[in-house]
Amino acid sequence: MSLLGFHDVTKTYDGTTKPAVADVSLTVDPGEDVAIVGPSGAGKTTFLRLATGALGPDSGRVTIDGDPDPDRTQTALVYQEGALLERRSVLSNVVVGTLGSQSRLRGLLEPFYPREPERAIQLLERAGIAEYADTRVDQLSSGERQRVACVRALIQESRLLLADEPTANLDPTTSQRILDLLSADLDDRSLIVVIHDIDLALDHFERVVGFSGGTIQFDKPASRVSAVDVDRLFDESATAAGSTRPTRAQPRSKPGMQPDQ
Amino acid sequence: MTSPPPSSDRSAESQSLDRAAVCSPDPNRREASEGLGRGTPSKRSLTWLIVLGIIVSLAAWVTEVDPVTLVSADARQQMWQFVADGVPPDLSAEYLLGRTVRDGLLWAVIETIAISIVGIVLAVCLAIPLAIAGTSNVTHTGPMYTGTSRVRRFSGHLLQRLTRGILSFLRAVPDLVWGFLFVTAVGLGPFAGVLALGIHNAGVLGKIYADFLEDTDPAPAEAVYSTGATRLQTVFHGIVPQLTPTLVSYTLYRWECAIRAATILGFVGAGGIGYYLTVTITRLQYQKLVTAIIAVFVLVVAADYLSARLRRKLV
Repeated sequence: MSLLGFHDVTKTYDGTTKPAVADVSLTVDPGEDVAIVGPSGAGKTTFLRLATGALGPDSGRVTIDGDPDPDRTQTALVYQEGALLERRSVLSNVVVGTLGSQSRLRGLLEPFYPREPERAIQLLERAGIAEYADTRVDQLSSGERQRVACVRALIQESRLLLADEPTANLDPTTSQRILDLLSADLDDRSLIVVIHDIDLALDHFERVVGFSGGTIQFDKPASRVSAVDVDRLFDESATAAGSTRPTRAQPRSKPGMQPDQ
Repeated sequence: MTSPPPSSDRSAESQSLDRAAVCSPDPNRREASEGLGRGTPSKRSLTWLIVLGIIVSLAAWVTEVDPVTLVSADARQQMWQFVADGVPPDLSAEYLLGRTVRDGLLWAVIETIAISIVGIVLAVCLAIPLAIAGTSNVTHTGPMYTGTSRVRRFSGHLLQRLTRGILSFLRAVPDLVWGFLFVTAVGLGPFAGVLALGIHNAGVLGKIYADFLEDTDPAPAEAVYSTGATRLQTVFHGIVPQLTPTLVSYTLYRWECAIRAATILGFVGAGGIGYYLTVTITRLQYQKLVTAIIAVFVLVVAADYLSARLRRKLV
């Protein structure tokens, strides 16, 4: 059975007429890693928030493991720009990820006094930021913050791991490191990453889904995504939005280059 | 410090550019000035100034403001008499220390401080639950309520409005009136003062806490809630930590206000130094009154200083 299922899902935000996500159907199987690419405003973030249940669809169904009303602990999302608690330490930010698996009362104190921080420390070590465990998050660099956000999602041990632009504004080495961290030991878990950098998407993921104007433009193995697919993805959005294209694929000879830098 | 202009010809150039911009029939520019619409800013501020002037004059008329009375020979003589009667202030040991421990002006000062501390602690204890129940993104809006039923959101909204109503009521009744009420309930003394300050400030702090909580960034709250945390956990780990220093700083400021309020609670018999103020006024003991006023002054200044130091440490 597929882990994530979108069945004709449409979502329109209050105060707008054009749906952010329109009639999207897609399934992701356990063990798959998927990159979602597309121009700004294509509905990628909305797609992720629908998958976590933070947004409810206007029509259609979103299922996790076949369950149309899944528990919030079944998905973990790395938010855009982290959505971290700025004045808290790295460790207490990470421990927040364990709240779903705690008893209600104990969970109230857990981020202040983590009783078993070993697992958090282990993951922070894997992310290479264990030395900052007691540092306040607002004193870290953006790459370090992004890794904190990843560790907070990883510690949830959810079967479906989602990430919204986890490599935005980061250098190629750090980007690579973050994607490695997220995609390690997938086994029966799945990973879906919204990513701006098409080269990173093609290099690092098996399957690439192109979003534009709230709909899926293509959905194929990374090896079969052509330059035409990518060009069309951004050209269509440019005509639709009446703006210049926000980004385009770099020549394949320079993997890891960020289009917006 | 600003550095001197790099070269004179550059400023000349920018000047000529400005002139060109003024003279040239730039369509964008004209559109912008037309966009301002009704009158120039100076004209509008003049209108406001006139309106303000009328309001202030009316208020002065209502309050029977009469500067001539203030500087009249009679007023001057009365005030001088008061100062002359009050100097030197009464610094006798009997007045300051009293005959027993719970007697004398110094004890009243200590009592005033104690009322403000216990009062604020009581206020915080009451304000926290009230603020949480009065915050819309805790009760019925925001990331924690996507996909919840209409009934659930409606009842949350109802709870929030109701709590806000309670907070308004607690705040609207002045602490002196609460003091009077509690004196009739628990009798004369500082405990009535504690209750009065606690209840009134619960209304003030509760509203401020709730307003701050409603103004937080929803993203961290959504991130915490999406981990499977309960709503209460999300409040304490996703919303409150965003503004802990602000909340503490504002609470300290209210403590300053509570000290000032505690100095007059004695007017209605609710303990503190205010008792000495009223008694010495009614008995015309001006030397003792001046001592009490000095004590109040020192108390307020010391509290301001202490609270400012603590707040600076927080930020």
